[in-house]
Amino acid sequence: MNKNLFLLIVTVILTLFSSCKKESDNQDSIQIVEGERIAFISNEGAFGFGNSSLSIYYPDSGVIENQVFEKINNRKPGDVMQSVNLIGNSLFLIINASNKIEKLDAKTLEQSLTIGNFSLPRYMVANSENRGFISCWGETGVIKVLDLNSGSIISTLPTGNGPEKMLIHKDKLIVCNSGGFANDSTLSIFDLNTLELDTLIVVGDQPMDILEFDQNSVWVLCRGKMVYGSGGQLIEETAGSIVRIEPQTGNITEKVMLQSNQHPAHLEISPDKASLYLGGGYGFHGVYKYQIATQQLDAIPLIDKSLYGFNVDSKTGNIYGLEAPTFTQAGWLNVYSPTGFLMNRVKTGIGPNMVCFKD
Amino acid sequence: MLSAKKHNDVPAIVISPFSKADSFLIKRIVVKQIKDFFKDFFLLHVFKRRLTYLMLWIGAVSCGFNNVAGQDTVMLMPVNIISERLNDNANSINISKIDSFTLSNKIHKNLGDILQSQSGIQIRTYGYGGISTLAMRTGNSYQTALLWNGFNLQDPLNGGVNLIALPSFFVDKLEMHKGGETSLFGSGAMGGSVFMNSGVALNQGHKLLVVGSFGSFESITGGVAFTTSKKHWASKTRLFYKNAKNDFPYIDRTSREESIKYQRNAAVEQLGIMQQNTMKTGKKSLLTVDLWALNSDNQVPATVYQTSEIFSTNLTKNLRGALTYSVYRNRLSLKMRHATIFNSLTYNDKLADLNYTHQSFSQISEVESKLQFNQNHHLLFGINNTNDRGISESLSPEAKQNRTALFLAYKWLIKNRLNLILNSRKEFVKSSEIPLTYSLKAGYKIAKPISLFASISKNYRLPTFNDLFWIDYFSQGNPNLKPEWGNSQEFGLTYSKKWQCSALSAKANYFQSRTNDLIQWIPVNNIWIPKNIQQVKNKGMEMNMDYKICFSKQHFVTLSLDYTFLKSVAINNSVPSEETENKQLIFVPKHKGGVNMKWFFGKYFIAYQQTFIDKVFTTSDHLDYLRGYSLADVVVGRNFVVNKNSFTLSFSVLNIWNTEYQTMPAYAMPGINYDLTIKYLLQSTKHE
Repeated sequence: MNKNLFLLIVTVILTLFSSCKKESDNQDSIQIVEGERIAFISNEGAFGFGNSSLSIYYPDSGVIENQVFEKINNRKPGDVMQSVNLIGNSLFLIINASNKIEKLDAKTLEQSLTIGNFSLPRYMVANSENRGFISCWGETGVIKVLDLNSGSIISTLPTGNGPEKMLIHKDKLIVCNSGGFANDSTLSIFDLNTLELDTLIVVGDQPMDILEFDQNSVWVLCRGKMVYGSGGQLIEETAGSIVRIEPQTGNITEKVMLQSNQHPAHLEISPDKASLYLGGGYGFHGVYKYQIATQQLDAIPLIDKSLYGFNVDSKTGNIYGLEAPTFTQAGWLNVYSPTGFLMNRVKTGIGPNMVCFKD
Repeated sequence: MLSAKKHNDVPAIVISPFSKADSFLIKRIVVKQIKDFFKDFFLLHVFKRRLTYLMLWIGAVSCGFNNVAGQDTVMLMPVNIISERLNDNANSINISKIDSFTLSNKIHKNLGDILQSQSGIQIRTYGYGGISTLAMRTGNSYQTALLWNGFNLQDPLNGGVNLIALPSFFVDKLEMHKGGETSLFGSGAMGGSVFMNSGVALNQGHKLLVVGSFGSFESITGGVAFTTSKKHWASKTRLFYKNAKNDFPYIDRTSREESIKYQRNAAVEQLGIMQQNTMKTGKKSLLTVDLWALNSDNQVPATVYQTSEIFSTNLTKNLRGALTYSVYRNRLSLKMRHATIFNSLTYNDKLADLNYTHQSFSQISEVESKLQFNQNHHLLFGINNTNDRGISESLSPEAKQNRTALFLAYKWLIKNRLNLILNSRKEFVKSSEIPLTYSLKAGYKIAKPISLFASISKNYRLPTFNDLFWIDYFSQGNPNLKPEWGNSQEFGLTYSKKWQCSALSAKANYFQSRTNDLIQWIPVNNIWIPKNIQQVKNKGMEMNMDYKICFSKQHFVTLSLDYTFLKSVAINNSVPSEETENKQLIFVPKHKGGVNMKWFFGKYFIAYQQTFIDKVFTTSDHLDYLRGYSLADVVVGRNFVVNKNSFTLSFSVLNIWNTEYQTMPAYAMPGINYDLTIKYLLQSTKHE
C-alpha cells in the first residue's frame, strides 16, 4: 500500500458511481387492432409535469391501451392534453400547456406534424380535412385558423374571453366564450366564407359547450358565474343554464335554468336527440338527463359520480364517464349504458378528460 | 458566548511550501489506523452484537457517499447570536455541518446549490433559476424548517422557503439537523431543520471582502462585505448582486427528431443587503440588530414541452429584521428577541394576463433563559409568541394566526459518559388543539472513540394559511384542519479517533417515524379541498464517514462518504388502491449518496464532489418516474496572502460529466458549466 492507494480507492468508488447504468425507457410495442371501433381518450396529466398521454379503448372488446403515443413515437406528447380530435384520417392532439398540436395518422398513431406557437389552445373543429379552427385562451381570446396539411396558421380571429368549445353549423363557426380567466356570456358567430365576425349573441354566463340539435337550432350549456372578492369570499354567483338558440336569427327558443349553486361543464346529446346530458367538470357532481320533448330535467342524477369529463358514443348511446381522482395517479374510464348502468371500468392515464370515437 | 473569538470572514487556505509524503510512512499510518479502528471494537466484548451491525455498515459505507464537514482548513466566524438552544439540545449524530471550505467556494451561489449535494436532503428545482425548495427525511418541503439565527423563515402561506432567494453570501454558518428532534423550534420541523446563521463578532478590526464571480449562461455575481469591529461594538454590511440570463442548451427529446434547444425565460436578477450590528451594552450584556432585504426578480423557466415564448415572472421581496438582547450572569443567561419578517411574491403571466400577489407578515417575540446548576445540569426554558398574517386575493381576510408557546429543555450529564436531554414544547393557538411535543435523547460514550445515541420524539406541523383559508374557483381551504403530528425513533453510533497525522470519524443511524393526519388536497365533488387523511411511514439509515490524512502541516487530504436510505410510504391514501399501497412516495429517492474529496497542497487546492440520487417516482402508482442521476463538480484554486490580506482565485467545473438530468419533471437542467470566482479580503489588525 502506498500513498496512491488512497487515491486509487477513491477513483474506484467514483467510477462505480459514475458508471451507473441508465434505465431504458418503457418501449412496449403496441399493435393497433384494425377494423375495430376505437375510442381515443385524452389524458391531461398533471400541469407542469408533462405526463399527459393518449389512451385507446376498444368499445367492442372493452380493452384499453394506455400511453399509446409514447409507445409508438418514443416520446411523451407534452404538457396537458386538453382534447383529442379526429378529422378525416388524422388525429389532432391539443396540448394546452405546451401551446402546440400534435398531428397523428389515425390508423398507425404515428406522429406526422407538430404545430407550435399557439397560446393556451383548448379545442378544435374543422369544416373540411384542410381547414381547422382552434380556440385559444391566450392573446385575450382568439381562434386560430389552421391549414391542416401544412400546419400553417391562415388567420387569427379575435373572440370574447376564454373561447372554449365550438361548432360548425352550416356556413357558420359558433364559439362559446366561456370567460376563461375572467367572465363572458356570449357566443361569437363567424362567417366561414369571409372569416369575419357575423354576430355576437348573449346567451348566459360562461357558455362552455355547444352541440347541434337540428338544421336550425343548437344547444348551449352556460355554466353560470362565480365571482370571488379580494378576500376570497364568493361575492357573486349566477345560475347555470341550457339554452336552445337559432344561430341564424339569434333567437333563444328555450332556456332551462339550473340551481344557482350548480355549475356543470359538459353537454352531450343522445344519438336519437331525445335527451341532453349535462354534468362533469370542477365543482359538479353527477350527470343529469334533460328530456327535450317534455322539457324535464331529472332531479336525480343519471350517473351519481363526480366526473372530470364525459362523452356519449353516437353509435350506441353509451356514456363514457372519465374520473380523475387525483393528478398523481391514473384515472378511470367508466362506460355506462344510456340508462346509467355501469358496464365497464378500466384504468386510463392521469386526468382523463375527453373521448373521441373512430368508427 | 459574550466574549468574541477569532474569526475569518473568508476561510483562507493554509499556505506553506509543498512537502513530499513518505509513501512508506503513509502505508504504516493507514494500516495502524485500520488496526486501531477494529481494536477499539474488539475490546468491547459487551457490545459484540452491535459489532456485527457495525461491520455490516462499514461494508456498506464503501458503497455510499456525500459531503462532510471539513474540520480542517479554517473555522468560520463564530457568531454570538447563534442559538445555543440548537447545539446544546441536539444529538450530535443528527447534525451535519457544511464545512467552511464548501461554504466559501459557493459564496456566490444560493442555499439550494449548497444543499443539493447533502445526503438526506431533497432539493426540488422548478427549472434552472426557478423556485427551489428542500425536504428532509420526507417528501414535503413544508415539513422541513429553515431558521435564520433561530427564527423560522417558512412562509406561513405555503410552509415553504424558496432557496434561490437565500444567497450563501449572507450565511456564515450552515447546519442541518435531521429528524424530528428539533421539536423545541415548533411547527414545521417534522423531517428536520436547516439552521443558517450570520452575525458580527466584537473586537475583530476592520475588514473588506469583495467577491466577484463570472459563470456560464451570462451569470455575474458580486458581493461586498464591510466589517468594522471594535471592543464595544461591531457592524457588518453586506451587499449582494446577481444577474444571470440562464439560457443554456439542452437536448430536446420532446420532438420526433432530437435536437439542441435553448432554455428560455430563466433569467434571474437579485439585489440584497444585510446589515448586522453588535453592541456591548454592559459588562455582561449584548445587543444585536440585524436587517436583511432582498429583491429577486426571476423569470419562470419554460418546461421542455413549451413550444412558444412564455413571459411569466416571479418577483420576490423579503424583508427581515431581528433584535436580540442578551444578558449573562454567572450561571444564568437571558435572551430577549424579536423578529419581523415580510415576504411578498408577485406572479405575472403576460400571456394569460394574470397577476397575483401573495404576501405574509410575521412577528416573532421570544424570551429564553438558560440556567446552569453545575457542570452536569442545564435547564433552558422560554416563551415564544408568533403572529402571522397572510394577504392575498386568494385568501380570506381571516388569514391570521396568533400562537404562544412554552418550551423547556433539560440536559443532564452523568459521569461524563451519559447525557440525557429532554426537550418539550407546548403551543397554544385559537381553534386548534396542538399536542405537547417532546424529544428525549440519550448519548452514551461506551469507549473513548465510540458513542451510542438514541432518541424518541413527537412533533407536529400546523396547517398553512393556504390549507386553511385559500379560495378560488377550483379549490377551497378547510378551516377545520387539525395539525399534522408524528412520532419518531432512532438510534445510532459514532466513532471518532485522531492519530498523529490523521483523523477518522464515522456515524451510522437507523430511524423510523410515522406521521398522522397528513394534509392532502383531494377533489370533493371536483372541488379541491385539503383534509387530514394520509398516514406516512418512514424508515431509513444514514451513514457517514470522514477521513483526513496529513502529509505535512500544509499538505493534507480529506475524504467524506455519505449515504442515506429512505423508505417513505403512504399507508392511508386519499384514493385507496392497490396501485398506490405501500409504494414509495413521489419525489422521494430511496437512495442518495456522495463522495467529497479535497486536496490541499500549499497554496493550491482541488476539490471533487460527486452526488448520486436515485430515481424518483412522479406518480403515486409509480407509472412515471424521473431517472436517477449522478452529478460531479470540481473546483481548483489558489490562495495568495500578503500580510493579513488574502486573494483567492478559484475555477469550478460543474456537472463535469455533462449528465442529463431533471429534478422536477419537464424542467431541463444544464450540462457542464463553469464559473470563475475571485475573492479579496483586506483586513486591519484587530482592536484591543
